This record gives sequence, C-alpha cells and structure tokens, in this order.
Amino acid sequence: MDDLIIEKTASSPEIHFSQGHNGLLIKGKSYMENSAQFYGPVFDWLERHLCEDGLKNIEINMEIIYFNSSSFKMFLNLFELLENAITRNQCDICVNWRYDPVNRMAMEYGEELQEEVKLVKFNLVPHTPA
Amino acid sequence: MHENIMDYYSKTKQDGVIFCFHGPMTQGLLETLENTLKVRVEQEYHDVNTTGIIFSIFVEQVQNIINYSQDRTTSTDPTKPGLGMGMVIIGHKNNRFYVSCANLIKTIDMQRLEKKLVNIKEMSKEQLRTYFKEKSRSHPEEGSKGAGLGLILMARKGNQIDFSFTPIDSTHTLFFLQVGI
Repeated sequence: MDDLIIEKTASSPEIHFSQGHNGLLIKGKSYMENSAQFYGPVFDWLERHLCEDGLKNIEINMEIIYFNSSSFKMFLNLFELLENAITRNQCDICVNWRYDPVNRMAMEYGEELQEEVKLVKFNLVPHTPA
Repeated sequence: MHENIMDYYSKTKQDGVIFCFHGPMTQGLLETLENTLKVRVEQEYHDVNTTGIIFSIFVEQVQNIINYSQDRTTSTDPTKPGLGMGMVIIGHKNNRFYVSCANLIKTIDMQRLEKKLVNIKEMSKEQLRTYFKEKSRSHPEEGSKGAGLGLILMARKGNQIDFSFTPIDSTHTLFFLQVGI
C-alpha cells in the first residue's frame, strides 16, 4: 500500500496516511484557496484503501485549528465517503476530532460535524496542546 | 496626496482602522498577514476567539475578492486570469470590531447577490446554522467557484451585516460589505 504524506503549509494541514502510522492524521490549518484541489488526492487515497486488509479498523485523527467555509464542505464530503465505505464494506471507522478547549470555533464545528454522521464513530476529544 | 494626508490620518483614526489594503488579493497575502493580524488584535484585546472570528471573516472576504472581483490585473499568462482587485479593512469602532470589503461586480449579478444577502440577513443564528449545513451538502451554484458558503459563514460569525451597491459604469457596480463582530 502506498503512503500519502503531505507536509503542512501556512494554510493547509499535514496529511499522514500510512499503515505503519498510528491511525490516519489530518492536522493543521485549512484555509487554502482551492480546497477541492487539495483534498482530491486525500479522497482518492481513502477510496482506494479504506477497508482493505489492515485497514478494517480505522482511526482518523483530525486536529484542525482553523478552517474556511470551503474546507468545511470538504469535511462533509469526507464523512460522506467514510459512511459509504462502512455501508459497502462493513469496516469500523472512528474519527477523533481533537480540539483545544480554548478554541471555541473548533469545538462548535466539531459538534456540527458530529451531527452529520451515523455510522462513523465520532469522538470529540478536548486536549490542550503542549 | 501630500495635501490629503491629514484627511486620511484623521479619517482612519476616527474609524478605528487597524488594517487597510487596497489592491490585488492573493492567498500569499492572507498567509503573510495571518500572524500580524492575530498578534495585533490579541495583544490589544486579549481574546483568542474574537481574533479567530475576525480572521475567519477576513479570509472569506479576501477569497471572495480573489474568486469574484471583476476588477483584475492584466495577466501575463493567457491561460490564467489576472488577480482579483479590491479593498479590505479591519477596524475597531464603538467597542466592536468590523471587517469590510469592497470590490467590483458585474451589474447583472447584483440582483442575485442582493437577494442572497437580504435572505441571510433576515435569518436567526439557528436558521443560519441549518442553512450553512444544507448549502455545504449541495453542489456549488452556477457561477460560483468556491463553495458559495462564505457569505453564510460571515453572517454566522458576525453580529451584523451591512451592504451597499454603487454603480460605477454602464456594466459595473461597486459592492461593499461590512460585517460587525
């Protein structure tokens, strides 16, 4: 399985998807100019590899400190993709939405995204960054 | 310019202008300004969440200008459009922050935009929350390069939305939008 590793930039998050890694990671800011272009390869990778052997129990850690409106749309698309994968393949997917409790916006959006999923196990995980 | 400097000085002071930019907008500009703006607002007002709200509205306004402004720089690369030009202002007046922007639009698009804004302005926070999610799930409208969600997000984050349209020539109109926080 190929890994998908994208370095963070000032306005786009770090992506670390690999089997050896402890879960899949999306971490950083997300206010890039073209969010569809950025998240395209991320969705492609998930479409190809979700629920393969070794990815039956998937944990996705999302730690997004700030994002723009078009990224929010991408997150909804992401959850739709995850829900469909569960329906098709009967695998388990858990998303940990990690946020700093001081960051009210990250918390509120986490709650809104949580309402959107039925099959994905969505955990709101408050944590204070070191 | 020299004669007007006192006017500029007192006008910007009176309006509590923290930051004003007029010219071509780029993603790089946003990224460069992020820290400066955050530090400036946070140092003075000690509130992380207000800083986040201001910056998120600022991002939507600048990205709207990048995508939709009808005043564009001349591009040297014929396959790419020029940069969107416009103006953005962040200020603090009468104990509240505001984020404003102005850019040219095509006059034929004015009615559609006005209708959208009037609709959003009338909604409660709860209605905006529902509407935002509904729009996030749907496909972008025709003529919309972004997700078409920026205006709704600004209304959700801000406390007051004001806008105006001023005709510039036979086909263009200056669109002004102010979000009070």
